Amino acid sequence: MLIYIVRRALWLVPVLWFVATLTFVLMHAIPGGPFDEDAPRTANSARNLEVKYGLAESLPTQYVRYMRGLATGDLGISFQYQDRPVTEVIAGGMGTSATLGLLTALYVLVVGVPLGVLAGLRERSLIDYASIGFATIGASLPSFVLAIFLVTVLSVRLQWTPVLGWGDARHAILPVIALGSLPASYIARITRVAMIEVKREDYIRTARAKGLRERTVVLRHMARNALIPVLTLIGPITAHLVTGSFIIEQVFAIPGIGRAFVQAGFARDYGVIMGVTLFYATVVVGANLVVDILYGLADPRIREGRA
Amino acid sequence: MTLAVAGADVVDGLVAPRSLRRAILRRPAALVAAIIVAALCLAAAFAPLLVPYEAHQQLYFTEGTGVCQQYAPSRAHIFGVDPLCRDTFSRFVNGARISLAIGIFTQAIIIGIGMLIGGAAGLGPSWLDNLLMRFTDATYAFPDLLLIILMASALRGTALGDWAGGTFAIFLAIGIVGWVTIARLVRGEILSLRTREFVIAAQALGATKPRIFLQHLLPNMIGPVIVAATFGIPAAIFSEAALSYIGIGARPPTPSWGVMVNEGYGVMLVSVWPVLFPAAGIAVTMLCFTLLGDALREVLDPRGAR
Repeated sequence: MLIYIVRRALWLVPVLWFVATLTFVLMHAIPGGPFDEDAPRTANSARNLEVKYGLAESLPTQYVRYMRGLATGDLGISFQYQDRPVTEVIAGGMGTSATLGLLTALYVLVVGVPLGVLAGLRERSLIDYASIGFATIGASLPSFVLAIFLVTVLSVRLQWTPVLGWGDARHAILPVIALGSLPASYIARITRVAMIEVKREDYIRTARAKGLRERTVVLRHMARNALIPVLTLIGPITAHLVTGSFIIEQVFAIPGIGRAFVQAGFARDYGVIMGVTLFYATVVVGANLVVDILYGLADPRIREGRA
Repeated sequence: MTLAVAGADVVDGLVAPRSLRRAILRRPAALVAAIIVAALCLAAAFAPLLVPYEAHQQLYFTEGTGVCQQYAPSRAHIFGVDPLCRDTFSRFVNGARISLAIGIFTQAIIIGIGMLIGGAAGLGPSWLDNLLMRFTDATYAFPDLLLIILMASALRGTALGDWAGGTFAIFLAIGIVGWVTIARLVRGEILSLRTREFVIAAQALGATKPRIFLQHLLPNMIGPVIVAATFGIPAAIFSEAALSYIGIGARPPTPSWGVMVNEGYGVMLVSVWPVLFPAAGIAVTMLCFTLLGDALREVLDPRGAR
């Protein structure tokens, strides 16, 4: 098992190297630099800027310097915030983004799992059809469109929640719903199908035959087994929360990493773009690693096979 | 990304119907979806004939400033007027053009790259398979939208990036990023088809590799590929709209639905109409393609219909 974990963890290194290289190439292969859209300046001062930010050296030199920096945890400096290290930009938004992400994950579980369990239990009932409807609409209603509908109704018409910003708990309600409804509908769907499959298993009949209370049968025997497939969703859902946060943080003006990334995109701030890309790639690959390990623990057959 | 691509669940225990027509007819939702998609495609194709105004035309030059801020639908402007005093309906129809073009044509790039990589992995020597699949895994680890934003911001300010109001850069970015699902699908299909009797028979008869691929493998895997591409359409429409909305995709005054939502958002405290039409356009179009994908999957890829 330890060998399996180590092997999976070592796989992180080439993936992150690949991501870093790809980002570097993309950022440098295309003409135009971060200072192009600033006020016009003389050739001399442009040159000075490039020297200061290390853009004047040859690409291989820049690449080696960047990679050497990465190895020591140095992501370089931001181009738009005058010498702020990229790590500082990321650390500045991390608390906010992590809070948003964790609250959303909580919402996803609290809404998705019970809905899926109930729908699977009462197949072809009203709640089943309601959950299928929720899943279909949830899968095709973009987060920012949902956000706009929510703002229109809850903030503008009813004035229950603030429109923008980040601070107290009421600010988090709309972003969490907007960001979490798609993964919640996804979890509900997967749980529902798993429940329907589990329901017909022999051990459920045995549990009933033993005279266990219905509550115990459902919670202890059915739900616990039906939730195993949900484990695999941790990876895609982490990815969804990351990419979703780029949009939702922009919609609600939440000062997180996603917002910093999008604004770095406007400004062609290479430093922040590359740093955030690498940071989030690490988060997503790390989440997948955790899933693999959990799965390896749950099912010995997986770690035997080709990792 | 799997989450956005995956469609709504198919009701369990349905037997896959034989024809597409029956699959659509026996599901009222799919029928409505097909009609709406067809109508949108027609409207997009004949947009110049259909719209009363140019997409960028500001109405105060011809109709006076009185028409501005008439956000609600009226007889003269059936979708109302937008915050910059342009006819929302004219912009909406042109926006359908952009969304559908991006949704549908990116799939051509995606299928092309996906088939190439998946095909090479499935048919080539095992070192190539290993190399390509590790490359695919690494790309998969990268959230789609992250890579699309990365490419779009790299192209920003270049001639390519500014072409067609920034829509081309987004189009390119979505197309280049989205191939992972198709590549995996194609490789998997090839590996499973390769051991089937009819392929072995063809090999025994001396058929060349390209011939086996074109004659025997391709026709058998085209169904699942079409299904995956259909689910790719709403995903691409979402990416374009979302990025244009946050200001990284198409740029004003391009009448992309995402741009329109962004412009309407600014006056939302006054009126919700300017936001409502493009937002509904995005949601309804994505929903329809998802429902259509479900129906297609039942016919073309019964095994995938779980």
